[in-house]
Amino acid sequence: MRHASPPQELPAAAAAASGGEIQAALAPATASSTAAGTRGGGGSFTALLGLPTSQAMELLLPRTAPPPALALAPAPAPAPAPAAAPTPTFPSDPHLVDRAVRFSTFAPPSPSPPPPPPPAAAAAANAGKRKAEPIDRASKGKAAKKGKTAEEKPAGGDGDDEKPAYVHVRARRGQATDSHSLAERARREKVNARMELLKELVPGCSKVSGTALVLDEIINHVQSLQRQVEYLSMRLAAVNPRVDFGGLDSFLTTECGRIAGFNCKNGIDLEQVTWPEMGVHGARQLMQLQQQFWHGDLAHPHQVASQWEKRGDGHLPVFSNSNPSLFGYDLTSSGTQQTPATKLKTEL
Amino acid sequence: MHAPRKFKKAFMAQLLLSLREAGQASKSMGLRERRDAVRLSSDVAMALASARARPSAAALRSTAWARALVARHAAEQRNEALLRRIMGGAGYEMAAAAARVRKEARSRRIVRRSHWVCSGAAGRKRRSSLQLAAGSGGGGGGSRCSAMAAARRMVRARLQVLRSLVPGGEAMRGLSLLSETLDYVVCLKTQVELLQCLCKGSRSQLG
Repeated sequence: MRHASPPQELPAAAAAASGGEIQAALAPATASSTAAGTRGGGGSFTALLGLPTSQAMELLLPRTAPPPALALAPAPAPAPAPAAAPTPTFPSDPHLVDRAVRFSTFAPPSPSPPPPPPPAAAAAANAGKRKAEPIDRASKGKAAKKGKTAEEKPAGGDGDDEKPAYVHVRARRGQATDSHSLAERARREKVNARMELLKELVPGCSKVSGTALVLDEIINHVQSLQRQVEYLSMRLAAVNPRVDFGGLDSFLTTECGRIAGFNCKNGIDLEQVTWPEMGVHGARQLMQLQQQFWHGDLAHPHQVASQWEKRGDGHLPVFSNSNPSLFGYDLTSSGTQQTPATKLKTEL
Repeated sequence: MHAPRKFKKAFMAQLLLSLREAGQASKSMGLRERRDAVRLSSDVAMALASARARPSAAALRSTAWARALVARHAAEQRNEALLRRIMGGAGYEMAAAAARVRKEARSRRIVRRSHWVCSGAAGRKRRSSLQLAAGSGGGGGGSRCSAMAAARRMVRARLQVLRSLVPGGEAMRGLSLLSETLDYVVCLKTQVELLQCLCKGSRSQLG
């Protein structure tokens, strides 16, 4: 599970590192800013518009209480949460982080700043520096470069403690900075991240550019997969005249065991699969149980047996006496196994 | 990026279980019925395995397509017996309930979406033009609007097609649709692999 925590912390850490780096790197450059001449009163909005972004960041960063809302939080948070090692859904988390860093949409650190992993921090810092310096140079001429920081500053300065829920996001050049477009941009980032993952998944999409064509490929792929499933199921039905797979034990342990890692002991907990009722009760136990089942070595049947005994199922003798294969137990006993099945719910 | 071993294991085990149940339950001779039984059992296996082997304990949610898939199968009356045996009586009840809920939710969403499309068209055009003006960096705003609008229409059409493909996709908006598609594609791939494996195995066994 070590993989889960670093990717989750990467965006926040990258943000923190880049923010700090920008501040540190551009602090000596602020003195030479010509925008100081255009600066009016201290905290006025229009005055801040004239500030180069470095100064705005400088003013803002020490003052910000860490807001709980991260612009990136929704995107990587569900991504790393299921992206523990077994899950295939979002495997390329560095991918997401990479994109986030490159597009310079970052936020100040989350309330619990974790120790930043050094390579990510260095990369983010470099990206941040690279972007900040041309921005700084161009900001003298381009008064239109405003960060959301500028807009946030008056409100942030007043009620920073009472309203910590601002999302401080640096806007890109020449783009509007109202909350709508920022939210939209965050959404677009998420969508782009998903599209990247899909492009990886579907073969032949990497050279196609443009959302519509990629979607075309995805649709074709899904359709072909579905057709394959139909065809294969037809074939299976045709091959076995009785749809009776009772005799497959032998080949399973050899062939499919190689591919799918199937082992006979997996069959034990299958009887306990039920649809989720309001499934929290027992779901935790089931999760633990399943963790034990799926993580534990399947060559230790007595471990499994002890688990069952702890639950007081009383069906242990059925399993131990049965043929050690999936099809060992007969159907008559399945009826009796329904009642303990209801105790263990899987979440669906 | 292929499915983890856990998922494959769970899937295969569940698949064999379901197939066995199917064989026991239906002595139907028709090829089509058998194929439907096979497909149903494999779909159910996929859904159940995906729910079980994904450590989604953090979010405590299962994938929407999985639920929709099983609900779709449960909606047909002839599958009832088989589904009951595979999933257990309680499970079947939940599936039937989900099927009913889904039907209402889906029609509601479609109505809502049609309202949004009709009323929001004007607002969307304004907003899209604003985005374009802002986002294209001031380059060729006028001529590009129509192209981007056309692209947007194409994307929307394809998203609609995708919605019809992915089970349970009717009720989903853009971002969740993409996530569900991702999940679904991975599971479909493993399903194909496992079915091929079974095919090969039974063929080698019989002859």
